Amino acid sequence: MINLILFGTFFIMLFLNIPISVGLGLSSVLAMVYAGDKLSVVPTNVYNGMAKFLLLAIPFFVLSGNIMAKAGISTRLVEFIDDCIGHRRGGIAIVCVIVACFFGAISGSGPATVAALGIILIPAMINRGGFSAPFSASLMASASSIAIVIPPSISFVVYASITGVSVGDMFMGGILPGILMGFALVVIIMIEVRVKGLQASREKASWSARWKSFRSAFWGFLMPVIILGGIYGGIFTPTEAAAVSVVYGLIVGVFIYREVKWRDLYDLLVDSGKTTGSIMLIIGGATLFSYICTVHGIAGAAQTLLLDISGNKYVFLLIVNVIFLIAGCFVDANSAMYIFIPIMYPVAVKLGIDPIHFGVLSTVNMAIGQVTPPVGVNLFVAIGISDKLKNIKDKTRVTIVSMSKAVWPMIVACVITLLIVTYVPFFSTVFLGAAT
Amino acid sequence: MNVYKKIMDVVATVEKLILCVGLAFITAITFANVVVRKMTDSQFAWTEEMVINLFVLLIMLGCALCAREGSLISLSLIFDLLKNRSKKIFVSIITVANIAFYLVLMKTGFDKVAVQLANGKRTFSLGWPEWVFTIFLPIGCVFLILHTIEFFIDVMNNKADCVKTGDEGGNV
Repeated sequence: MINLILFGTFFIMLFLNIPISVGLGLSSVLAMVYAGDKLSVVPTNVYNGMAKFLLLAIPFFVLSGNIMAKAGISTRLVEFIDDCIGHRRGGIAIVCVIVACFFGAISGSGPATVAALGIILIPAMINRGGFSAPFSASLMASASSIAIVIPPSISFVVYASITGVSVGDMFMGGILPGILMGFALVVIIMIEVRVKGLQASREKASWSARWKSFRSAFWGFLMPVIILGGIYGGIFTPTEAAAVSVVYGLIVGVFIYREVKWRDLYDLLVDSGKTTGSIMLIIGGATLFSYICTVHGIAGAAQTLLLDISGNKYVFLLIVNVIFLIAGCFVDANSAMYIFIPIMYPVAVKLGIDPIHFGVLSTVNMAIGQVTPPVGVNLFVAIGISDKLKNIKDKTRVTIVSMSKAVWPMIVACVITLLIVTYVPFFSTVFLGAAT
Repeated sequence: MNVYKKIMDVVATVEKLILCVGLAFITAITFANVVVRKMTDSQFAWTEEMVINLFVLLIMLGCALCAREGSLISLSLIFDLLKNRSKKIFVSIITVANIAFYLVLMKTGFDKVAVQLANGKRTFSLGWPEWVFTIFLPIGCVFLILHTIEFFIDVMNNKADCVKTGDEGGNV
């Protein structure tokens, strides 16, 4: 009965558009009232769930991503990658995927990547590349979902805070699967180019032009090197790396690119604080929810059930993927992690699955969740941008319906990548040996 | 109701200021810790305790500012399809649920503060009374409740973005 109250009320509240953080917290409170528990554990769980040094990396990564976006790094990255491969057939769409991967190495958030790049790349793909508006918006959304797989990533920080694995190892584990997702999307672009018979849309850039745009984008490329190099060089912890990336972003934005003015900082800080608050309160509510699952034996029962049904790790991983893909359609990545990882992680460890591998495949699931209709968050950001575009060759209105049709081949490509990442641990663990 | 809105504008300005200064402070101190450790082989042990507790205050303020716009992360799948009148019914239910949770968190939070005041426990590194940090949570809830009411009033007066479209249709 307590299961029904906890999960039943949560899902009802979820569909009523009640904030996920409140849904998690209130359903836990109702379950506690039903079970006759003392409510004094409520503030303790919520507070301790949020007050973790590791999670402090989240506001820093959000802030540094916002600063770099404001610094105009997106335009510079696009110019450089466009100079390198923009002259090929479907070039501008491939530019979109590659730049999203690089921007993902600066920002740890999918929607932030769509917001920063979509405004430049969606109109370019339509007007210059000849792609349809829904295809362009869907590709931007899908490519941006790679941002949470490529380090730094908020989802990796969240996974590490739940399971206690090293954030640095998670970051290393995400590199290859992220690139693999990029390749999968490039295949979809090549198919679209051939089906539509699209031709190259610009001249090949000279080497001197490429060098010039590289020098301009260089400071953006250096950021992931500093973050990952600093963590692995033992210079700083992941949280400190995030704080260093903020300071680095400021130096680049204010003194080198000179696009961030001191007065912009107020808005940047407030916006980042709001984004972080919204994410972190979910973590507070989810900590309470997860605590109730544990103390009332719900987590234990679910684990036994999972072990009984799956029997071996291959079936277990398949079940995990199905659960995460469905959950990803409705809840955000962090809530899904807090609800399911405490249940699934002990089973995964019992079945001999590498914790980093498990974390990476869970995050790839979450990345796909960001572009699965009906509520993929990246899709909505892309729709928001498309609505504001003017002077676009393709007048097809970008809606969740038109995007649902355009995005499915991309989802299939990403699911194939997910299966590869799931059943070939090599991709998520290959760099771990080198790192440790 | 205009008076309430004006008061909330002032409250939000103060919240933004604290959020802005607080976030800049915790970033600076975390960064400074790296520099100091590299240069002197020592670090301020108290900084970690200070920043993570301050972080809780910033989270609550960030959420309060989101609550004012109704922009806390939620699943708006059904809500977006509704017409304004139904949206208002939804927002009424959402407001009740939100306030119920914030009240529980506020009440139990203040109870915890009272317990900590009575037992005089101090924090590990800074040696400050524990309640100094714990109180961030219930105080944050007070702001969340105030802004949740503000958003409710805005929706009922057609001043919030979600009911502003005027076409009485969903925004699919």
